[in-house]
Amino acid sequence: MRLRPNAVLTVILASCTLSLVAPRTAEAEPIVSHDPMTWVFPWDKTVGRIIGQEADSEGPKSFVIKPDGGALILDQVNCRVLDTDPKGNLIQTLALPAPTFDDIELVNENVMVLADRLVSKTLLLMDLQGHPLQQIEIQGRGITHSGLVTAMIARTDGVWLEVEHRHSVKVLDRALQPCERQIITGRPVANGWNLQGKLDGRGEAIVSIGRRIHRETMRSVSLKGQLPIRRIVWLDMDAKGQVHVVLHEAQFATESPYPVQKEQYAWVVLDESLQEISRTISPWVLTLYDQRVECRLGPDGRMWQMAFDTNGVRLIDWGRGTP
Amino acid sequence: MKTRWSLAVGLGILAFSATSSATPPTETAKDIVCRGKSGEGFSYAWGGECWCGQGCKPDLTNCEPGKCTPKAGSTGCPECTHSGKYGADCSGFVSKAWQVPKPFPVEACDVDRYVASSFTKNHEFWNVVPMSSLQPADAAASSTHVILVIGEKDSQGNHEVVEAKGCNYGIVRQSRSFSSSYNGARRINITTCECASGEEQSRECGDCGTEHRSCADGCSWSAWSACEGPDPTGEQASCTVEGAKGACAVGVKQCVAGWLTCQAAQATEEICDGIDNDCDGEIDNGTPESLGEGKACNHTCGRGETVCIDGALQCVMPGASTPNDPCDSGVGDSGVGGQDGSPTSEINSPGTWHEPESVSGCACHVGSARGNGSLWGLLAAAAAVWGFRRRSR
Repeated sequence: MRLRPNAVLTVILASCTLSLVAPRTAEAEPIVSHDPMTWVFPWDKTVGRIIGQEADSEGPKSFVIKPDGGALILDQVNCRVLDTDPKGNLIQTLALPAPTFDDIELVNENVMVLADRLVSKTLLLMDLQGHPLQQIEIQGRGITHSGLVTAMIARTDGVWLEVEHRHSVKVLDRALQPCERQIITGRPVANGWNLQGKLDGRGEAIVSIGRRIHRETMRSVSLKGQLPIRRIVWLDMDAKGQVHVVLHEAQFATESPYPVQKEQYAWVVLDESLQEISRTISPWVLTLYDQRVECRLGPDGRMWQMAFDTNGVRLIDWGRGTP
Repeated sequence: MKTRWSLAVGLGILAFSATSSATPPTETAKDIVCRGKSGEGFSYAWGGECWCGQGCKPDLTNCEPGKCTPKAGSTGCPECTHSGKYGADCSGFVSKAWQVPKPFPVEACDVDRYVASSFTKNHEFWNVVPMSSLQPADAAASSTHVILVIGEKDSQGNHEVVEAKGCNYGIVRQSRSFSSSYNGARRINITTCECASGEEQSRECGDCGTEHRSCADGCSWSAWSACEGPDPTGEQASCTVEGAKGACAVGVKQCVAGWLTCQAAQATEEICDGIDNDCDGEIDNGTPESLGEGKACNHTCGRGETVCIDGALQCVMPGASTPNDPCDSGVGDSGVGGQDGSPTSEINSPGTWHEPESVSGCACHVGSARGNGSLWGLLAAAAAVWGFRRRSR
């Protein structure tokens, strides 16, 4: 593939060139890691952040686990992607043309796709040597407003964008070319199935699996939490056909100003028949630093979480035990 | 980080007196949402609170948005510069959308407004509400950021919002989640009824859908329903997927989420069925294992092996190209089954069927033919398994 000259790319290149005149962080340093299941990337040394004052705060917006077990972390504040080895050591940084990308996915071993939903409203394909390959508009059939995209999912048949947690639109085909946009309800998974997650309004979450073509629900399950379920954080199916759901459970006070009293994430694994296999609780939850992707399945079916604390960014491998 | 007091001083923020006669106007939630949507696309300006709109849409033609540039090494505004007249920070944006402390045109710059932390506490112009009950026109506020909510909670807990997000983004509209550090706030004087009891509305959406809403509580509109429409029928229903091959190319047209889309089969493992299952443009070009080839079978001329021919597994003698070749060229007339174990063509060979021996193929019981098998026949069969070339095309 070759880079297609594109006016939008030129614009966003210019915007990041400005912010890269004086990098906001020092040279990337090795991670601080005391724990095989948690990699810690220190704030302002390795990963950038915006500390909002009358504005939103943000840390890395998204991440993805590579087939070799390493990670790509979207350090958009510093206009770059951090590329790590399977032990979490930084092996390279890849420059980005803008500080406003908010999602990253790996479409094959050498190509990543980055989404900028809010400013350029485009997807950018780049190889892992840092070469831009192609840029396409997000808005079009099935997506009236790019800001309403709620997930970006790379599958063997192409790249899909989920809209308002309702439907998904195939925007790139398996050859990573723009294609006639196919639209399905829910989120695409293997075997021509789709996954749907829904809060029932009474503190539980309903997960359904169905066939894309017939739009029929084949199986459905209602999940309860230890606390009322406030949000479905992540939903996906692994190569074995197991469904993984991450739920945000929270209990709020009933009197003004209604502060949160307790909250946690629960990672629930369901088999193909949607019977619960396991449940893991994580104390790490969303902070005031805005994130688009907090949890994601690795290629081997292990769940990973990117959480923030005062020290930095923690990439937690839930598959190695309770976080 | 600046203290809240110094922030208020820096912004010229209102420490509004309770004795003030100013009040926000009585209006509908829709009016506030509309005003908020009109800010989309304008720049982030720390301390700013103005933009231009035409109805619910931003007027980016008559009012050029400014540009926010972070200073080198900063971790965000106020270490930034802004050029141009128009733009807003988060609290300036919500103050103006809410028309607090009093009504000002959205174009009016340098007018009274509040800071984000103000919205986390009860105030004479708004009340703190649980985040679980957020409605369009409410705000979600933390100590450092405030956001205008313009949509109901979606199926997984996100809300559609408009916010002056930051220097790099400007005023944006998006679906987002909130951490538990946010409080909800609801402005007062949102009392005008939008609709009457029993009233319903519909509107077109996508290119084949319709969405509906009804008058909830006899006063305010419910959220719009999901966008849905009927699937095309008859000749209108067939379609092909552009650029796709094989089974993935032929589909049926459906109205999904209000959009006409061609739904076709997904690529699957190539099997012997005369269909391009894996959608690579070639029919029955899978591996011997996936096609079910190379399995011993019963043939009128002796021990044969399965080969995928014309979309069906057939029993062929080693060295023969079709099942119908004369026996002296290693041939006979035989049929094998489909991969589900059932015959795919009429069987006119001595072979008889029994249950499949493997998941991917069927087996032909070697009845009397097994007894006739000679060492040469076995050797020939073994050689065929090793080197046989498929004859499916």
